[in-house]
Amino acid sequence: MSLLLAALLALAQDPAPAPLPEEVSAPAPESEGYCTPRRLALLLEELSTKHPDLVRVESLGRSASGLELPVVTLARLEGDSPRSRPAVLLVAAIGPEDLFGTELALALVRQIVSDARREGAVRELLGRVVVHIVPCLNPDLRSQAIAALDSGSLALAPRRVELDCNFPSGWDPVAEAGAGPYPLSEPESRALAEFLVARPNVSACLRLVLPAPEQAVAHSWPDADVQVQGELCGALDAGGLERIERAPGSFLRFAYGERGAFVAALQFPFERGSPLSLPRVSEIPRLARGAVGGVLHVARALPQVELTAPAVASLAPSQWSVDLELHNRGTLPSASARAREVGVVGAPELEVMGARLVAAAALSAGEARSLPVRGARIALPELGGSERLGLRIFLSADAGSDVRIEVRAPRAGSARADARLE
Amino acid sequence: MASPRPFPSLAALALALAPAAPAAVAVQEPRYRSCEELERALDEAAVLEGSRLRRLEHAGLVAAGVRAFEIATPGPIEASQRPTLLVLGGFDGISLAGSEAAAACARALGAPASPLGPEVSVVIVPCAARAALVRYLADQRGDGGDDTPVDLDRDGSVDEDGPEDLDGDGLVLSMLVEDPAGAWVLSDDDRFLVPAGPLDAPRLSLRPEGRDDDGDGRFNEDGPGGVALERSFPLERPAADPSTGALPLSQPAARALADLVLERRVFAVLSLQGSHGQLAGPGGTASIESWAAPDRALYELCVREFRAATSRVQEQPLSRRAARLRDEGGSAQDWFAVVGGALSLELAPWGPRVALAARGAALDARFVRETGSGPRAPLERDLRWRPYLDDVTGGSAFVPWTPHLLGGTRVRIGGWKPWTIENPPAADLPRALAGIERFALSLAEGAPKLELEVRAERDGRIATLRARVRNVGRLPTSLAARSAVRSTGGVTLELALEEGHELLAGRELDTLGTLAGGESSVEREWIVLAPEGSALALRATAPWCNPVRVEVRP
Repeated sequence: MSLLLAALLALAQDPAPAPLPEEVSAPAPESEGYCTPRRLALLLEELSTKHPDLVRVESLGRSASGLELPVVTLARLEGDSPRSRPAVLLVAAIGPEDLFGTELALALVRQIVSDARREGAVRELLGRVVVHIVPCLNPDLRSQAIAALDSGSLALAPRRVELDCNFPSGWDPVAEAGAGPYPLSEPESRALAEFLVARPNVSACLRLVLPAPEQAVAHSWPDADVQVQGELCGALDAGGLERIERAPGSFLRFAYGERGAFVAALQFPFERGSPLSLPRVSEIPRLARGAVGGVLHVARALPQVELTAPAVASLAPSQWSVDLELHNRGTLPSASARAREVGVVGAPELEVMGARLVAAAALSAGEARSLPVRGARIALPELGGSERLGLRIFLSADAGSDVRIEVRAPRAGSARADARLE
Repeated sequence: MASPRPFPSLAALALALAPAAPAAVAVQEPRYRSCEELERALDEAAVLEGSRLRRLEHAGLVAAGVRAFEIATPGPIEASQRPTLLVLGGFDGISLAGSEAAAACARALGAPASPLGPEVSVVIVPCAARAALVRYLADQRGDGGDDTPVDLDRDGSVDEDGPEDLDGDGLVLSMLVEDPAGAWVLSDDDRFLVPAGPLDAPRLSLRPEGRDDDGDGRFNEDGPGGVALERSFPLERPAADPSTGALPLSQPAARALADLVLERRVFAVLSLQGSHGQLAGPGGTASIESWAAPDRALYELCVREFRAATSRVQEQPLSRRAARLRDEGGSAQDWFAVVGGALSLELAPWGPRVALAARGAALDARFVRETGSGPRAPLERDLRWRPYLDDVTGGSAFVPWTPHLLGGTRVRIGGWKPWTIENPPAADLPRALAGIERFALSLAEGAPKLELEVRAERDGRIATLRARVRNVGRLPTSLAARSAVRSTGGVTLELALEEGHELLAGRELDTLGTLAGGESSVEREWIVLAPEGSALALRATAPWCNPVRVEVRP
């Protein structure tokens, strides 16, 4: 077993090793163990019917030939809307080079659901964050590939436009023949881009890929992101900014370049079961375990704001100061530097209800620095991974008033704290 | 590239367009018409006897609310299959003069006596960014954005801090705010601004006139205004600028125009917009400017025709960035060239030189103007417009910066008045539009046209064919600059073999490269084994041309 898979397996086993569920070790049979788009849709439907509290299956849209493009949302679906929670998006099977992604994505959906049923930690995680999985962005290609396997003819007709060259960032019609007449000219790429744009809470985007040789590539992405990406991808042995720099018009480049999401291309070495990029059916469970590890690692790293209990002090009649601490429990920052550069997310914000907000300050190294106040709201700085920020807010209200303090960050969820002014 | 055929004499063109002359001066009572009025006028012209103008009922355009007109002289080739010149008026959402110019082109080229031949068609969209133009006409100002709500300052609220007329002069002008982080300082000519250097003070922020409606300490940073269609195209689009759309081609009108260019054989796009007064080729950014370099001879030809048609002064071809004096990614003009493969030109009806010529300068003989050099010399754009401001309008086109106190913040209100530099005063419209319809006609008439010269001999069943392709138009058969998403840009020559024919020598399908205006290809030769008395057919095609087919019976 490669070091990479060992690392991903170790990540998957946090916090405690769990036996693989039956379903993963025996993927659903389909001609030769691979999924047609129709079979995939049926299996996903079955999962969502069986686990309605954890699995939601929706459609991104339809492919060029009219096949559904399913997207699976894994989250505890009670309580807050999934759209207000931090999210990670995994996209599989975009082109011929990652055909295998569908089998892995399906297996990892099953594994995560099974883990959530068995393990409190995974269930708790799915209560805080959302995992979106697109198991097959290119069902037309998959249909063709399965038909090719059945017929023994292993040549796939090239598509005029390559989906992974058809996204906006770095889109290059001068050099890339498969770039398409304009970005998102294909229904599949457009549907995925619109899905991502409509979900500013997605902080990280992932793909499942075959290993590629590492190459140093010059780029001018912000230093802060290069460091965070380096740490994230280092832990997963995944491709990051260098990989997307070499892939103009790719989905991951769009996800980072235009949406400011952190990205990782999770690599899976395997012996091909056919000339197509499909593993042997017997290898799928082993590969799926690695995929689960990678996805859960990123889900745990997602930024998430927390507030400590407020400490109230009286300054004068009906004038109060309230101290509390804001914490990002994830290792990813509340927004990437690129997201701020392209302005796709607003800054975190604190809102006070039940008292008049007079002023606010950030506490750092014994120094208080005033923060801009607009009405009942305070504009907060972005929080780095695991960062803590002391806050002191000055309020005006009658003694005995109940105050609610709420922090909202577009990509790091929200947190609330209540206090009585006394 | 071979020498192009001489441009038809101006006299001939003037004669040809004579019946349309009133249309060229459609502005008999010079005033700006609304999009509704412009389109209604064209609808009325379309029903006149002999008119070649008609509404274009293209499903995508109709669905997106884009009103287009087609001009086609009756002929054997269906209009939608012909090489097409696309004329876009005011696609920048600012240039109302561009819309007037496009309407003038439609009336002139669509008139019953129009010299337009039956081998090309012209599609004209007078108000290509309709919502933005409507807003501009109503407000006498605008940024080219449509009416899609856009959160310009990304604060979660939309259109919450727009401009107002603070000083009650009936105009919403510009405002300078003293700001230690401001990017500007006053230049030596204290009407104009220059970028602030390290020790410059006081530093200024340039904002539209108005108060800080949302109390965030910033002035008028998120007013009404949405996506600028012409800058929402994908090539090097600045994703961080919300006015270019959440995604490239996010607006249905922009996508419908892009699809029209892909569907039809569009050989040229003439965008009537801007305020530089010149003819500009593609190249909103340095990389697209370099990409377009192989076609310099073509752009030189266009500049010659532009000079002849409009009597304007322009020596050399200019890229869009050179004409506009700034870089702009995401332009439709660049996409039309790189992906659409069209000759993509921007013609700005109004500009500093046009403005000077419009009314003539009234310069005081004693007046000595600053030369415009030194560390705080005004920017090039201001230097170009200054003679118009001083010598033609006597300074009245600009409101001097006047101090105001705005809730404790010191501001100055002033700037260019409406109908000065972005669009001409209505009285100057006829001058700004003069000759543009002639230039449009010259483009349409200059479309490349293929002719096949075939010689054939036969000895028994062995037939020998020799053929060359000639481009008898003035424009080349395609751009020389290539891109990977377009198929071959060259002329192809195909021998159509029928049953019983056997090719003994030569290529069934041959690519001949691009042919310049008037150029002939090298001769190609085929040897075919064919039944006696049978016919042989050759077919030549090129991206910008109607295909030609010649059948011989050697």
